[in-house]
Amino acid sequence: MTLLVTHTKYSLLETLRIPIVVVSVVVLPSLSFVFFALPNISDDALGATVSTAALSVFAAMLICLFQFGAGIAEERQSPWDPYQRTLPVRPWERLTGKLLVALPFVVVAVVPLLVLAWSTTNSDPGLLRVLAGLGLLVVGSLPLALIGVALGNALPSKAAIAVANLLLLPFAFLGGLFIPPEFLPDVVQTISPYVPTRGWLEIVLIGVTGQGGMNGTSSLALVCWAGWLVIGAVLALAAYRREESRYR
Amino acid sequence: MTEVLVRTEHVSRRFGAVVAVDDVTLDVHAGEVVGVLGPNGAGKSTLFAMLTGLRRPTSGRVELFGGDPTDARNRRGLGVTSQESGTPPMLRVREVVTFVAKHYPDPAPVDEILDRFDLGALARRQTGGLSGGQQRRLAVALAFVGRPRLVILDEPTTGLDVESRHGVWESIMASHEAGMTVLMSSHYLEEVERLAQRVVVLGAGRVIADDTVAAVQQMVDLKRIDLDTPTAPPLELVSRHERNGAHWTLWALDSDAFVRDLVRAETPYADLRVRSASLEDAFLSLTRDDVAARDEAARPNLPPARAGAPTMDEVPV
Repeated sequence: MTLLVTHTKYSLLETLRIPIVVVSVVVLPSLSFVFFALPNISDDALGATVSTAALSVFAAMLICLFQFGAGIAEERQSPWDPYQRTLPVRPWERLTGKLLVALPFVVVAVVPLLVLAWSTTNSDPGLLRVLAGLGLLVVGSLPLALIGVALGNALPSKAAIAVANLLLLPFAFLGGLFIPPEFLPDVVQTISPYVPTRGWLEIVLIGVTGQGGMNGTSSLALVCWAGWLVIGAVLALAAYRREESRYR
Repeated sequence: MTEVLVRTEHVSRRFGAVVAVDDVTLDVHAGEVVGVLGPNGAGKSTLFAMLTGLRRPTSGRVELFGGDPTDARNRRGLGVTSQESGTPPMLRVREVVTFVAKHYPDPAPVDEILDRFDLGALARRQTGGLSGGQQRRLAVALAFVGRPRLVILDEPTTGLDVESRHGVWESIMASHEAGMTVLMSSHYLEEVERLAQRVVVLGAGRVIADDTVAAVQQMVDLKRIDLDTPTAPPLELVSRHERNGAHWTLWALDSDAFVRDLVRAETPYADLRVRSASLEDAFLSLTRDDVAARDEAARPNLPPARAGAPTMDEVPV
């Protein structure tokens, strides 16, 4: 347990020392809020809440794909990784430490969004609902977190960054993170429930609004989210096993 | 008999078609300082990787403190310096040392480690900004942070300047005197001479010699002889030779005897030069792949027959 805390703490320290990472995680979602959401929803309380939730999911997705994907891939290439394998620490303690780092980051990314939404829109879900939303944001992140871990273990860091970038836009747009799902073009609306970010958003909205999105909750999106959870778990496990077998 | 901290029994490790470690049987006892010598690719690092839990053997058994080194619990008494240094570039020196200390039940105070390895002035520097030598010193220091019973050091002083090298030597000697067991590899015979009582020579993945420093020194005490001659010189005393036109390079244990043979055979020669062969040369002649050469090299390894002690032949069956 102490080792878990140690590994989390030092991974966090390492990331915080690269200010641009912190800045991009904080700024990108808030900037997207100002550009995409604000012009359309300043009077619409539910719309504002949905948009804030959507961009929170976007922020957490950035962390999953880049912090986990690129971060793990980078560390694998450094002699620091085999060195740590000779320390008296189990592999799962190291991996869990790396994943727990995401929690403080999510807070750092989402809090400015919440402040922005609270000060510029009529959105007011109440503290309890916001906290429920944050909790569900973490639960809903699982498929993307697992995909990030899979990327990080399967690919060299440059390739992991490229694939993360490739996934970023389609997942964000198709999942309704930039434009609320209800306003997406018909074709996109048909595809939307099948991407993992849509289900993630639906899960967060259940907590934040208590009634899901503007048209309630898409149960198809939830089913697909569960499917992605399985796919993510299988991919992450396969990539992790393969990485471990390099050392066997 | 003292406690065995490291034991390998007929350990082999293959990477595809390449046999990196070939049937190695080795014990390291508590309190020993054992030097592992061998040219690049001899299997030193692969052997160490198996001892430190990084890799499993393809066949054979590896034990660390009587258990499986791939189990984290069995590595609590182990400190490691790997051949390649690398620490998170964004972390400060003190943070890296503290991070490693947290893994051990009874670590040395961080300041003590920083002082011992002359890192005190660098404590607040990010490790990415350290010079190669400073990085190496940090990597060596990390092995000692947990006050381990055993340190395994893979070429600890490669890349260090003379002064730092001597500092690391002193630290290894002091730790040994305090009861620590040391298993280290090196390219430098001088280093092993200074620190170790026992030397294991690896070549092509095998143990070619496992003996006292003095005995191994004798084995690798080769001379390199260069000369120009149109006819072949006598090769009876030569362990290896290379020919480039009329220029011959020969390696022999007894260069004086070789020169006497050369003169006696009335070989015409010019430009005769004799000098000590490099360790690399010595290893090469020790690691000649034919069995005969290995047997030849192993001969000085035989323990002197003790008066009164029964030899194998005399033991009644």
